[in-house]
Amino acid sequence: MRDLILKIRNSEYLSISEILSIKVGALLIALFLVSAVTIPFSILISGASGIQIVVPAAFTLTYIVALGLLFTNNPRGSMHFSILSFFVLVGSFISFSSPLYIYLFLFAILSVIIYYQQGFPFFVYGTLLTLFGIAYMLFNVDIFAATTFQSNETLQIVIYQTTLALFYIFFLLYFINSEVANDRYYQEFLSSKKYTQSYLDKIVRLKETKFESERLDPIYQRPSFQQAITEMSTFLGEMNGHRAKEMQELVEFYIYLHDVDIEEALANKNLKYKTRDTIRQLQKYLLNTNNEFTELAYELIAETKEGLDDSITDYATSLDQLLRFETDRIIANAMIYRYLKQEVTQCDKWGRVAQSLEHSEIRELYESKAIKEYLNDRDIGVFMDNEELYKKL
Amino acid sequence: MVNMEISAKTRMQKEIEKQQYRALRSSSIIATTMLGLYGVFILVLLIIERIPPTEIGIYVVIFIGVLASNALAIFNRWSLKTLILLSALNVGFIYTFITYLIFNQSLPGILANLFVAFTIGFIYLDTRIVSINHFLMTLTSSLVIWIFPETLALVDPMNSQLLVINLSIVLIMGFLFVSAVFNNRAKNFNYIKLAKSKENEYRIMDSLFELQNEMMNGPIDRDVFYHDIELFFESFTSKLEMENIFAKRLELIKDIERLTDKQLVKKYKDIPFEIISELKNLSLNSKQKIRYLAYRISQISDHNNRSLNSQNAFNSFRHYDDSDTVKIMIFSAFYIYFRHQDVDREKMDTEAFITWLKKSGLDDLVEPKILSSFYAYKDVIQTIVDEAMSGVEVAL
Repeated sequence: MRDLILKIRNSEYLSISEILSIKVGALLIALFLVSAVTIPFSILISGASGIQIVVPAAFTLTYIVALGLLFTNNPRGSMHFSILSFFVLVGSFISFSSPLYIYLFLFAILSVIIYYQQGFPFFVYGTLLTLFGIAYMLFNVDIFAATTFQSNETLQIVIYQTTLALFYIFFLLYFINSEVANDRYYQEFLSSKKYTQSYLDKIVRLKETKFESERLDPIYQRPSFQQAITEMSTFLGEMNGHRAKEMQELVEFYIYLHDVDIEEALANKNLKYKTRDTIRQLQKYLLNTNNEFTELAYELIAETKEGLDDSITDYATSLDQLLRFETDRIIANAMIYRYLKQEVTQCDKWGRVAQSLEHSEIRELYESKAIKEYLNDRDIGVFMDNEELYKKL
Repeated sequence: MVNMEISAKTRMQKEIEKQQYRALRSSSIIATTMLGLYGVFILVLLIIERIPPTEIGIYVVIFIGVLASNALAIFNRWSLKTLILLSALNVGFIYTFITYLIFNQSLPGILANLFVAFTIGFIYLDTRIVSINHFLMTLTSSLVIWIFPETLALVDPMNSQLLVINLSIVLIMGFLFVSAVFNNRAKNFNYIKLAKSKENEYRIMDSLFELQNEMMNGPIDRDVFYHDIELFFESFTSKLEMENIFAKRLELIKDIERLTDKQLVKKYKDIPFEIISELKNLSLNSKQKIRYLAYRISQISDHNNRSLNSQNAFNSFRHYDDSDTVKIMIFSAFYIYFRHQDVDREKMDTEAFITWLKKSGLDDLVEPKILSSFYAYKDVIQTIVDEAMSGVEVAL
């Protein structure tokens, strides 16, 4: 329970599927409590008639499947069965009651689907339920009208239908809006991340050059690193219930992988599944390439760096946002061109960071869609119209 | 260092607010459209029910006032705080309006309109608005159920029936509230991650510049650089047959690197300080924007060639499909990596490592039980690692 509360409090660190599991779990607990009170009560009142047997049986079946799927790490499948379970349980209450209950029941089912915050299931189930609701009211005007106090029954039905449709459409818009916001975030995050990977790639290559030219050993080749990682892993492993031998073998394999062509190793069909799986797990943490380990390490190193000047208050990249006068933007544009042409920012054919961009390459950049993040059309136009002058810069 | 941290925090906060604003603004656009649609629906209903025109007129004026204020806020890009306040007022307004109609106009099926109010409130991607929305929905629906049960169209409703309906609504609201909070927290967390990623991007570029300076015989030769730019603008202005209006600006940019703000203001009396501040972006001082931007632009092709998706974009020491032993060994490798000196940084002691691990937020990416063991036995681990690093055989 403590773990669950801790998980909910730190929900932002959970994966989508972990959050879904918690949500399904919570709904299943609520369903269990409600069914424990209502089903025996209902049998006592109405006796064991056909429907009083079928409903609990259907509920129990869907509930057990939902629970089973949840415990077998399939929260998505479990979600669908929990919705079905809710449908059966709540549906059983309203079977003999007011038609208004049927109407409220539709909102309840839609709400449970909204609760999961999954756009596609809402679209599929929501569309079916809304169409069913509208059609049901359309073909049962007399049932609805019989229990209302209103004089204008048709108007009443139309209002009910419109409200249900608005509820569905508005929530559909909500899901679209939420997806668009997520997508915008991912695009921006992935873009920033790709630039970071690009800088890290240059760092790794520069370091390799330095190791080679100064005949230094990279960290992973130093005996002190290999000895220390063996000892620490063994110690921490034993603290967490893993045998020393198991840890030592893993460290040995990890160190060995630094000298192996991973792609080739993974392509080897004779490799045992376990070995292949271990390589897959370890490859992202090798120290001799630009990978996840490098990114994590430089995230920590970044914290120790100064970064931008104190006076800079945002991450704006567009010259428009930085400089309001065109004169200043033309100067900035010339400085950027000069920088691109002179400074070493590219790799040569041997993979060393040793080249700057040539005019034709800069021109390609100015023609690319991506440059619009930095320069507006006028700035690009100034470059294109005076290309020969820039070329001499 | 303290100033640096404050300015980094300011930048990150600004970025987070930018993202929050963007999300709230798009929510507001949709919510205002919904409100408009709903207003039309109610208007038709009032006309059909033959409500007196003066009364309808009042409703129309109120609705137009609300919609107009929203439109103003959206198109004039009012501040985040104002937008939050306005969103809260919108939610309050729609519930008040429907509750008023329920109690004062015998409109058919009006109770169901509370659900529409709820959807309008739900659209706002902000936890505060979500809280207000759920609270008002629970409150108003309960009020209506108990004070005005006729709206449920039940003949002689029993208290038990009302209680079941009320409890069902409370339960569903509770579930939806938790779900919306999860969703908004995840979104806010993403905004923080994005801001952190952008801040890191510049700092990692710092590491790159330092390494590059060290390996490629020093930073840019500024004198040559500015000289080339001056020559370029001489040719540029003569081609366009105009006065060289860039010369003074270039002189100012060069001066920014060596003069204080006071001296700059004194020397360039005719240039407002705001412009001087803007031009600081163009100073070749490595901490200013221009060099970072130019380097970023130089990587556009590399950036476009990289394939990355949201599945493999998130780094961690605790991937769910990695075994426990791998998680332990990788965290050990990470610690020992920092205990060693590398070509671009000094080695760290255990305390420094822990401090930076926490500051960078990377501690959240380590399996909690492994991190707990590390913290609990950090002195023992330090001794073991020190001895192993110095070549002493460690007895375990």
